[in-house]
Formats: sequence, C-alpha cells, structure tokens
Amino acid sequence: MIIVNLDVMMAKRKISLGELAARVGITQANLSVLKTNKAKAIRFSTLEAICHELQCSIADILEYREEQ
Amino acid sequence: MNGFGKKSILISKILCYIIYAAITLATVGIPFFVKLIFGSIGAEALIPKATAMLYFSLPPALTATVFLHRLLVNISAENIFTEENIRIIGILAVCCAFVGVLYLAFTFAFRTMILVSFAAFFFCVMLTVIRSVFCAAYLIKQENDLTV
Repeated sequence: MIIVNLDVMMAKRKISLGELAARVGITQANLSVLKTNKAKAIRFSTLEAICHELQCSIADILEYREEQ
Repeated sequence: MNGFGKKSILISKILCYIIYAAITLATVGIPFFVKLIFGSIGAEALIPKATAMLYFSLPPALTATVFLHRLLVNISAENIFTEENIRIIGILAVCCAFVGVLYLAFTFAFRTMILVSFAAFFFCVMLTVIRSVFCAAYLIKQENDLTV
C-alpha cells in the first residue's frame, strides 16, 4: 500500500494544512483526504505543486509498504 | 445542471403528479370504469376479474410513482450517482417484475394481457441494466471524488 507522509513534511517545513492547500491550489478538504491516506488517486499536477511548495522529492511524501 | 436538464426534470415531475392524480382517481373509479367498458360490450362476466386485475396493479403503480418522484428530487438536487438512487432503480425494476407476473397470471381471463406482461418484464430488464450502469458510475464517481 502507498503511505502518504505529508504531515511529516509539513511539520518539517512548519506549514499548516490551510496554507499548503492555498499554495498548492486545492481545497483544504482535499488535502486533508490526501494527508489521512483516504485518497484513491493523485494528479501529477497536484504532486508537482506539493513537492514544489514543500521543497522535497516524491519519495519524501509517498512511501510504498508491503501489505501483510 | 443546464436548462434542458432542468426542463426535462420539471416535465417528468409534472407527469408524476398526473400519475398520482390518476392513481387516486382509479382507486375509487375502477369499478365504474370497468362496468362502463365491459358493460357496453356485453362482457359483464369479466367485470370482477378486470376489477381485481386493476386493483392489484395499484400498489406497484403507486410504489413506482413515489420512488420515481424521489429519484427526480435527488437528480434535481444533483445527487445522481448515489446508493439511494441505485436502490430506487432496483425498487422500480421489482415493481415492473411484479406487474409482469400479475398480468401473466391474468392471461387466463384476458389473453392480450400477455403483451402488457411482456412489456412490464422488458422494462424490468431495462431498469436492471440501468441500475448496473448507475452502480458502475457510482464507483467511478467515488474514485473521482477521492482523486486529489
């Protein structure tokens, strides 16, 4: 399964959910869906915007873990 | 929803209200109507069977109309591909199947009712297919809603 470590990166960069959502251009609700691992898919444009705002790579945000 | 869609839903709602009125009238008017039709052709012996057949048709007709109206209300509120609507379409299909069985049973008295029965079963199948389409659309919508 894919784990979203957005909260970790947000804490490192000291940015709130609302601020990041506004900078990325998506709603707070949608970003919350992503943060809480409820999202089913993510657009490349959103991923690009998040990586740009958090100054990180995709691997810092998305992690693959084998399901047991 | 665009103007054409809104107009279509409005027309459908008006037709629903007309059907409601027709069912209300039929509840009291069936005996008079049947006596008038069958009496005029000298088939008085068929009056009880015709009356029973029409009265048995009223519950599925009313049920279908109520749920059809509910479906229209949901669609006009832009809640289209939802679990409730899928359930409603399933109920409409069951109503059609019930009418199909009912009129098939009454073919012993009125042979032409086999055509009405066939039409009802055909609508049941059509609604079942539409229900499957709605199920698929609901899953696609869910995935789309959870796409960030």
